[in-house]
Amino acid sequence: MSDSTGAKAWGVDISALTYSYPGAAAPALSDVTVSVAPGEHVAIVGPNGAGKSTLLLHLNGILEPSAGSLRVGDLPVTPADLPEIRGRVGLVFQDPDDQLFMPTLLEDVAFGPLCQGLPRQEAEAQARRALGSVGLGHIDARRPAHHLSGGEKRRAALATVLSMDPGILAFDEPSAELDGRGRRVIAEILRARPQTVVVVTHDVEFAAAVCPRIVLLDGGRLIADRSADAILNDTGLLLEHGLELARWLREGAPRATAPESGTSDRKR
Amino acid sequence: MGFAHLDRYADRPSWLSRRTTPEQRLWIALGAAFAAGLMPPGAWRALAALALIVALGAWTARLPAGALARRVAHAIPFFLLPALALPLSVPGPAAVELGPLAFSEPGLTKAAEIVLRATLAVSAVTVVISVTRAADLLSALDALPLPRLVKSSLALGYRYVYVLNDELERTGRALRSRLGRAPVSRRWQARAVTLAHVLLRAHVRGSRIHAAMLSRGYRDGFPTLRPASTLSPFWTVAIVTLLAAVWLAGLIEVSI
Repeated sequence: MSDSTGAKAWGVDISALTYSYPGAAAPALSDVTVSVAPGEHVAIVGPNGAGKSTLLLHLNGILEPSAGSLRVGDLPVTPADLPEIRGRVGLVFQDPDDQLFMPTLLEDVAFGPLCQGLPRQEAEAQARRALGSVGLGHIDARRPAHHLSGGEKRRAALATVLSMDPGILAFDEPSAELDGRGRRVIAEILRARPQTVVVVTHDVEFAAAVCPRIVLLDGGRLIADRSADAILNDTGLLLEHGLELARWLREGAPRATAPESGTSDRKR
Repeated sequence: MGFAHLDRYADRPSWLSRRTTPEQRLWIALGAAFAAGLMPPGAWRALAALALIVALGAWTARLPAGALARRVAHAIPFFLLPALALPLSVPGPAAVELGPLAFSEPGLTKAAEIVLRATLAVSAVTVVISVTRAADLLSALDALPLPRLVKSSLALGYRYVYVLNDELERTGRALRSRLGRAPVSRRWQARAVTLAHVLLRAHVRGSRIHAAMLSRGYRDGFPTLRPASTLSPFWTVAIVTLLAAVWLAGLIEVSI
């Protein structure tokens, strides 16, 4: 499926997905069913250990379900279809240093297209376009990735999957370790993507800034699947599942106050 | 960062960097290393000629002698230590006696020859790689008939030595901030635990990197964008031919 910009956008159907890590006492995901329409932007939120990243790794077959099934567009996620699935789902990992593994930035961004079998010139052109689309077109792409700042690394990691022209962009904690400006830049880039976007985060405000729909996971189970506004307004639900909101803090929650006595200036 | 000095001389325009590509420089380095390593024993004049070529190479690469010496010094212990055993183990008349230790003359000669050859080989490789960016060098490795696994390991090693170094620095700082006035033995114990911890984290990171590679279509090998070279190989052929000629001269020197 394609939109007006020419970018493909695939839908995702997750049906009764269950997954247990080897040796784990409890499943990381239990009977999770979610559908994402082509071009839709959906955030998956939840506290640490909710199973968000585990769910993300299933999208392009890094993990195989213990039970249940997934479909990306018209294709089931099975070992036989992995090359096609991995071309459709671009996965951006939490730590950009895990994503940027080639000696230079340009080779890193061109890695996916080259693996897809594109000729070198075409792969390089696609890599440069991807770097430009995340605002890194001006930097020397022959630089090693370790010369980039944290925010630049995050955008470069996004470029590594954009260069593959995937129909689904899946992000694991894209706002982690970024300052306010970095978060805003990433949020703007994600909002503007015509592809299907799945964002995994425990940052509810960031999720709402990027996605109109939020899915809440906790303990490997699907707790809620509502509009971002509905989730933001349900403070009780968020608190019950270990999520907090800066806005909630602004609206009358207890605040830390300076102690009335007991402090002293030692030099005095 | 800690490793920024690796590329310090790579961007300096020099005769060598203008007239050869990174791939061609790799072949020159290999030629020099083979000429030094395969030189027959006792071919001192040929070794001297080779030393002259390496010195000329350093000059054409605009690599300062001090920088070359410092870089080569890192490798010297690897061949100096085995060479030190030769004066004691090779039989022959004693040249020097230090108490119960007798250093034989043929042993000393052999040790000197090994140190000289190894120093020449390492110097030649150092000159060539100093004028090439590490990233370009790794890309150029594709031209060499090395196993894919070796090339991939070198590429990943170069990329992640920085990340590991950063992690070591961070954990080192955390360690220092908590050790206070701990005794030396406790400090060393803590350092060992920290190192083990960083290695464990490196292993976990390796799994994540592998997942990231798979998710972008990795099957085997690292495809690169290295363009086909349009630079004439004239100077590379000339230099490799000269090195071969010096090696042949060494063969003739010991046979007459």
